[in-house]
Amino acid sequence: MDDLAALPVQPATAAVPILDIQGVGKRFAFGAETITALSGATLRIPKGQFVCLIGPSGCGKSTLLRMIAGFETASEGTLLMAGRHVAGPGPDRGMVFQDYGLFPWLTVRQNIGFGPAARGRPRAEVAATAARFLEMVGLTRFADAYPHQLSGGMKQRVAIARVLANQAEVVLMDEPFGALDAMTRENLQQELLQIWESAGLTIIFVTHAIEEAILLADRVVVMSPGPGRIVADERVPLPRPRDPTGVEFNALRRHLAALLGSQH
Amino acid sequence: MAAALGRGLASRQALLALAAPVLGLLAWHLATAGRPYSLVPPPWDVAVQWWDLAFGGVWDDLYSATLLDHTLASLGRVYGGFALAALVALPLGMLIGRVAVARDLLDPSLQILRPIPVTAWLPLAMIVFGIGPRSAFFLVFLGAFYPILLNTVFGVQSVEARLFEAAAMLGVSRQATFWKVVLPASLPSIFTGLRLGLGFAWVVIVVGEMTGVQTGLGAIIMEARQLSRTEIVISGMITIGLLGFLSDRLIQALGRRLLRWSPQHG
Ligand SMILES: Nc1ncnc2c1ncn2[C@@H]1O[C@H](COP(=O)(O)OP(=O)(O)OP(=O)(O)O)[C@@H](O)[C@H]1O
Ligand SMILES: [Mg+2]
Repeated sequence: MDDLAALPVQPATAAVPILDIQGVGKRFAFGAETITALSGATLRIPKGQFVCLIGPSGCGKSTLLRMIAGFETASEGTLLMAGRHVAGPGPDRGMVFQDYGLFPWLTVRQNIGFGPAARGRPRAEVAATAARFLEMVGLTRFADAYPHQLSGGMKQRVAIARVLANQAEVVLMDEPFGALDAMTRENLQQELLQIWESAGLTIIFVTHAIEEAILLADRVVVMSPGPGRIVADERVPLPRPRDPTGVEFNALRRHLAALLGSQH
Repeated sequence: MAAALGRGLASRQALLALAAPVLGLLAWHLATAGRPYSLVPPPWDVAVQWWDLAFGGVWDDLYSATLLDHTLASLGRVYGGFALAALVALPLGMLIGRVAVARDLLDPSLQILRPIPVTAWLPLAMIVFGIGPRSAFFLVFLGAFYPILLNTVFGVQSVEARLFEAAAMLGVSRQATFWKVVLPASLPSIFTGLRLGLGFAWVVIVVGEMTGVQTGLGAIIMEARQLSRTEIVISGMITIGLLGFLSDRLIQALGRRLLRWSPQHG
């Protein structure tokens, strides 16, 4: 079974999307009942795309993200990462958790260098990588602080840098800025866009906020609950930087709000 | 300004910490001084006795200048028994906490043995190990064992699930997870267990040494009681208290160094 999963199912050509999600669903046993958290989700995500998932609470956004990360196995459908079956978590898919998930016993520098160090990269290389990403997220001054000494926004920066330093191709973000104040959130949104553009990342970003989705994404996937499924898949054709007060921005916002509103 | 304030606070704290013992000594003195039939000797007599016990030159009897020998004997048993307890309880706790088979195999038995007080083991220890230092050593081992074991089990079991996910998505292999995640994450609990265990070791040592051991602080306390040398009894008690206190301070300082990252310890 494991051997089979390791075989490429499709040749890795440019036409293969980095993530190919085909009819994926997830059922949880809940006592005697079964809860269908998600069903029939199909998404093809090309390399380099910035995708936002929006939808009301309980529609399966986190579940989908966690299946892509390999933390949960799909109850139905297939999940391919660069043409290979997702068989578990791996460094090609980095997750930025809403609650950060930093290692409290490591300094900021060590947290950022954790992935390369854990995979046995030479010490000098780990140090150089950590220094580079410390600089990128503007935390050089706090390199030797421990997570409990940081603010929420700083912790979220460390979480992002940790995934980037590990050279993740796909970055999965589950409401990463949900707990932050508006100012910090705006700063981090801008930084994330810069990093995304310069590093050629593929990002799947879960959010509750329509505005955040339109501000960031190439493509907004709208989900609906009971059971969780994908109900719309909209392109955002606006050039960056985007103006949240612009006419087109607001037209799109109303359109997505209507999609979300019509679910009830 | 802030530093001066900090110093002010520190000296205020030190003053308050000293107030209770000074008042206690005063009360003790008033209650006992100048009463020839008092069962408890006054503090000054105890101080003189402690000096003689430590350095000699006052009574020059069988006990003069023997404190160091007794202290070293007790220290050896306390730290030896504690070290052995840690050596057994740490790996055992990690096994029970993380391996289901080990838990199912060992946990029920250990839980049944646990409520037996250490003192209840004394007669059996004397039967098995004979009258002598080995029984004391065994009791110290037993006293330190459970706090270390239980806190280690708790520590390795209560690692946040999120940290396992974080490690996995960063490329840590399943085998490496123990060293990279479980062990560091459970250090605060393990440390609490070690600290409690060492504390218990000091409690138990006296009981352990009260039976047929020639040297040790517990031994002279017991012997002095039979000879009605209450000053020696109290001197021994005070010495044990001080050593236990210093020992706890030492392990706490060690913890502060190792657990700088932990908001509770740092
Ligand atoms: N481990 C689990 N066991 C049982 N049910 C679960 C589990 N995880 C998720 N669910 C259920 O699956 C459904 C989808 O949950 P999910 O966390 O994916 O929603 P979400 O869209 O991320 O919601 P939110 O916006 O509130 O984070 C919910 O009904 C939830 O109760
Ligand atoms: Mg969620």
